[in-house]
Amino acid sequence: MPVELVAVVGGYGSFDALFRDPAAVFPEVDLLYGKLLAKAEGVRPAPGLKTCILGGELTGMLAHEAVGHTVEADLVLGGSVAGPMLGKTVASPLVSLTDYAHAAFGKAAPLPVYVDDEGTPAVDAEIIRDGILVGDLNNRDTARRFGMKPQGNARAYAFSDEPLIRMRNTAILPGKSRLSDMIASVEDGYYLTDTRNGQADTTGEFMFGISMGYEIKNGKLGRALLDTTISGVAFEMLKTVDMVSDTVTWCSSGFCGKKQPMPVGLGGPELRCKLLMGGR
Amino acid sequence: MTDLKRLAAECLAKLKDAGADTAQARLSLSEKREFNIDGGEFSLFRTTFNRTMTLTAFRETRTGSVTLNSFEPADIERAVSDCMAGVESDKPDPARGIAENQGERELTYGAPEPDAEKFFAATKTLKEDIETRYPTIMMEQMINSHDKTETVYADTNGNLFRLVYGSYGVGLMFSAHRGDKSSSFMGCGYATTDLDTPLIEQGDVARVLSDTEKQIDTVPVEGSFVGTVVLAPDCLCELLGCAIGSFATGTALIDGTSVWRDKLGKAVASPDFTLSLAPHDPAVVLPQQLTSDGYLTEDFDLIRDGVLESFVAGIYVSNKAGVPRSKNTATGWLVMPAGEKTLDELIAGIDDGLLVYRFSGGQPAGNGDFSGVAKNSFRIKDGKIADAVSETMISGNLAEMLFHFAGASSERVKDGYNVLPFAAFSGITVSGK
Repeated sequence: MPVELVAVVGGYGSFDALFRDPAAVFPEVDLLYGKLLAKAEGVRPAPGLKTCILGGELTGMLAHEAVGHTVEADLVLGGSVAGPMLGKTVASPLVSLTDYAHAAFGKAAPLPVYVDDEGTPAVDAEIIRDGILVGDLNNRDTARRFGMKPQGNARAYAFSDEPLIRMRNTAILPGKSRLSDMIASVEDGYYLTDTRNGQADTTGEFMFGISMGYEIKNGKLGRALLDTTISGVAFEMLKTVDMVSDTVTWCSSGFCGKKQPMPVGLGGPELRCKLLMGGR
Repeated sequence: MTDLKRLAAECLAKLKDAGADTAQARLSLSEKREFNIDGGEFSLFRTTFNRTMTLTAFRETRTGSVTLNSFEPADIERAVSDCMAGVESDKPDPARGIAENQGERELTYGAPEPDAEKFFAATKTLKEDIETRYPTIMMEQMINSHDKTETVYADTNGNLFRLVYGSYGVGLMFSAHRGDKSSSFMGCGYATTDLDTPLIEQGDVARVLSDTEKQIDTVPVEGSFVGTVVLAPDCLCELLGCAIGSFATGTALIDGTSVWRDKLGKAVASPDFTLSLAPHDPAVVLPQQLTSDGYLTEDFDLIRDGVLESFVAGIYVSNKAGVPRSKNTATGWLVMPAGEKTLDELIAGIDDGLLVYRFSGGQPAGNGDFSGVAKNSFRIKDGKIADAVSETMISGNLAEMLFHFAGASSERVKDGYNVLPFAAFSGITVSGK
């Protein structure tokens, strides 16, 4: 039975700058190969609601797909679940989430945006602060309608495209827990590290394809997992978060699809939470 | 007016002069007239123009290819130079090639000339029809457009084809709302040449809108069970497309990882299951006329009575994998025969299962394992549609699923691209909280 794993190497910068020495990538290839061998012996997870630790890449996808899209003001006008939730508790107090413009945590963000395609200077857009939904993402038109300030989220892809409300670098902020302590705290659950794709809808219900993960039994990592899927409802699942790691992982290899493609950055720490696992 | 045939001939001559043994040129001019509705209000009308040129050169066993969006002489000169530089740096691979001579052909199809006024009126009526007939529906976005394309394909084997085509496209994204409660968002759409039939009566729009209104209140499935899942045509199209991509074409065949690799002429599905790749079905609005190799296409059965009749292979996949070349290389244009039972009768025979309108799932694994959320879906209990469900996942294996085909509806949805019924498959794991 074939098993597959895909990893993206590189990041912000041109190809010749990032890959001047191919040998620099070899450690990542070795790591991928090791994971692939583990996956080849992998097991299918048991379906149902489970305690999971989401890896940083998945947390970033959660921030983007399941929360970020619901607060895009054009989707709020279209009936997104986030519309009536502004000012209300949507997550554990451990959770804060921001759409960063060009810098985050003292470094350049993966895809810096300094001015958007309506000419608005780009600034950070705070979305969730300590579990409370505090902001939406706007273009100039929706900002006027909602009495908010545009923060540089109007972005167009091709020369002939109209600017749409888009995210830039969307991340859940780091917490104080160590990953090793988080794993040790799980009696029976899963540590989910890699994803292939994700989708969410305006109700906040999301689905992420999981391409790599591990069982956790009695606080220790166990067997690798075969491909599976997780799902949940963002504003319910985020309330189950009870540990947040102290390290943020960024990912910026994909394109967000919303009429036009758009490069975006997404990131986050590890989260301990409850999730619905797919399985057979 | 740009003479694409003349320009294509000039490009081929330049590639030959630059050292190509054989070459292809594909040039297109396109026009898009687009209406958008956002948040229930008209937000955009625009006309955009585009041009693309793809040049491909072959020398011995090396290939180079360049795509540009300019027809300016200086840009073409640079593209020819870049194309040949690609040839120089390419890894030799004798599997590539282009179609043998089939002559010249001019084809005009679909509705290449737009009636923008009539289309706008039809779009406005569609908006009003939805507001009147489906009061809980909130239109997040409607993107309606007319797209016209003129394409010329020419190669040094003497093939010269000019295609002029166009159609009206209707795309809706919406959800149903009552107070603070809402359904999941849902989308549907189709391509058409018909502006006389109300847009709401085409494709599967009316049924999908009506069923979305019933999805505001949902009930999660408790626990898990193995049951029969009825896939709505759009959802069926997505999963069949995944099966074709994973088992019947491309790298899966070349690498030998496809589970159908040795199944040509053998059973890969229930004997009741037939699936054609039929771009020339009368209900298809814009057929694939040409493969990228330059072959004029024909319809073929991928699976007939459960037996794998062909792979989906152009010249490269055919040579690389050692399988016969197929009559088209479409992974869309799916056509399935209608069943004998209506959808209601199909459901009446199911004790426990789901009717799934949308599958939100990860890319199925190479072996066909899939799992994902059953969105915009209903529980089937004792032969009847019961509650709409939420937080419910379905899991299975695409290759096994085709052996568990349990019937198709007599109703088929024609969306201009595919002609598909509702189809039932047993043995699918359904899991909830």
